[in-house]
Amino acid sequence: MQGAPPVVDEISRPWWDALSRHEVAMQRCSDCASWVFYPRPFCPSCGGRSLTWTPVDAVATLYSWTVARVPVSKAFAHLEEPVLAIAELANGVRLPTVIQDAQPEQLSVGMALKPVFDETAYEGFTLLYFRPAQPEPA
Amino acid sequence: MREPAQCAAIVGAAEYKPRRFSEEIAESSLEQAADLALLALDDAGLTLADVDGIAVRGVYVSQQFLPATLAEYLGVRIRFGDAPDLGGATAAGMVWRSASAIERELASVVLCIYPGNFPPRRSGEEGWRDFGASSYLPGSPQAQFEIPYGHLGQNVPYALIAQRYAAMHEYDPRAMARLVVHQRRNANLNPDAIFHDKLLTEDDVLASPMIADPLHMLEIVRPVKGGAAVVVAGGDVVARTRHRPAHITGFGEAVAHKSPQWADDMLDPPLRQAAATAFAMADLTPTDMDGAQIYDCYTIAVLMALEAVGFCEKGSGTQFLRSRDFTHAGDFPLNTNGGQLGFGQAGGAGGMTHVVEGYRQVAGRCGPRQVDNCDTMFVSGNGGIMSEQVALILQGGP
Ligand SMILES: [Zn+2]
Repeated sequence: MQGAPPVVDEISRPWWDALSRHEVAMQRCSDCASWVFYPRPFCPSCGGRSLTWTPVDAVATLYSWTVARVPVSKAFAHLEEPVLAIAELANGVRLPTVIQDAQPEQLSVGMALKPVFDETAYEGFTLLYFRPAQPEPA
Repeated sequence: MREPAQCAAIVGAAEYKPRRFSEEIAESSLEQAADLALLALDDAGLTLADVDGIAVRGVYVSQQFLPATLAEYLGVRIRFGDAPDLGGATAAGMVWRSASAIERELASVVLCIYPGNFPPRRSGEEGWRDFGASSYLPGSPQAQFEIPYGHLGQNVPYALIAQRYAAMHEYDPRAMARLVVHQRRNANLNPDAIFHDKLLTEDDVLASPMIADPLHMLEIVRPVKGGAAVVVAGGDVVARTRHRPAHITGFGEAVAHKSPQWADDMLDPPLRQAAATAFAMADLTPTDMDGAQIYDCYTIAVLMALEAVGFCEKGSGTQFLRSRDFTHAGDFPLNTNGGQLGFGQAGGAGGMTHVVEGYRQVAGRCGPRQVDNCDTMFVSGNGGIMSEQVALILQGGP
């Protein structure tokens, strides 16, 4: 087994469905306007249960990053030193993610990122990766 | 101000000398728990007849009923049973829960026990679903939003915290290496430490392989097999014990998240609240401490703890690491048994080593690594990825 595909549940299915259309959608609380992520049946900010799936612009900044020089587990041993990161969206939500198309030397916390809709990791799933918005000239 | 003599105290301890991780352990974890109980009671000068409370983890003969299983095995009837679920903060969590139970007269002598082995791993087809501290079970947020991206284990999330810290504050790999070297010097004075015989330089640390940027291999604990226990007692029992008691005058706990990816602020660990609670309870400040035993699974965990507790200002940790002497005879005795970086991390019992050393320092039982005139000691526990943290303040009796 390579990697570990997402174990999807009903509450989060709209997230995965949006990604498969190369879009990003998140829950937003109808009561207090907070963004809710990861998906839940309620709003952790106010306890409200009225949430609406809302499109989100997936432009982000790099909150932190590392390179897994040693595989994180046997299931991920096929990956060659992946850059693992946290991306922060403009709405404040942070996402565990993978950075593509970048050497570690190019990375700096706060840099602008663009979304990458990855369909290679797991069959039938689109994952939300990121890459630098302005790659260094080759 | 809580008078130390009116607070419950750690009155005895036992700790196995760490063995290599690859070594097979003949005894079951239940046998080890009983052995550690008897050793710790003997150390205190007490017997099973005195015991009326048990806090236990690290027993893998069943997945639940741990206090009952051990009480039955030891042949004791208890009035307080607990199995805290706080990862590396479990040991410190056991101690304050026991102290609280004793102060409310629910119990008078509580065994806090953690055999330091590892749960049996699933093998074969099932085994690939084992992601250590990250749950791949249906319904787990990690199974959906972390693990598929490779965000699992400990190295990566601690590295993410360190990299964020490095971007926001001064960060210097050599200052981190200096901390590891000072702790190693403490380990070199501790015949039980796994690295007792191995000297270390800053260059060695910086030359060790990068595991997850910016963390080098020698900034990360070495897993070992071991285990430890302490006896917490109160009231008249304390006077019957053999050594100087370490009274638990302050304690605090805070839990912020499971995975730091979801933290409100990755650089504001829950230990800040836990320590503030503990110091307020004891009516003491960080400057009153004669030393500290800080949970040190990674160098970054120590750096952030030093700031969160208030031993130095937020953002000034690197300067602190560069300028203070962390050996037992230094101006800031820290992890005086070598810490987990020098002693070894015996699974979940890793957090117990800090409790045991904090007790032994206050009791004046540390031999060549004894801190002079040690009357106060700060102890921390850290579970998950700086997720669940506990602070203890120990004070010597008269
Ligand atoms: Zn809300």
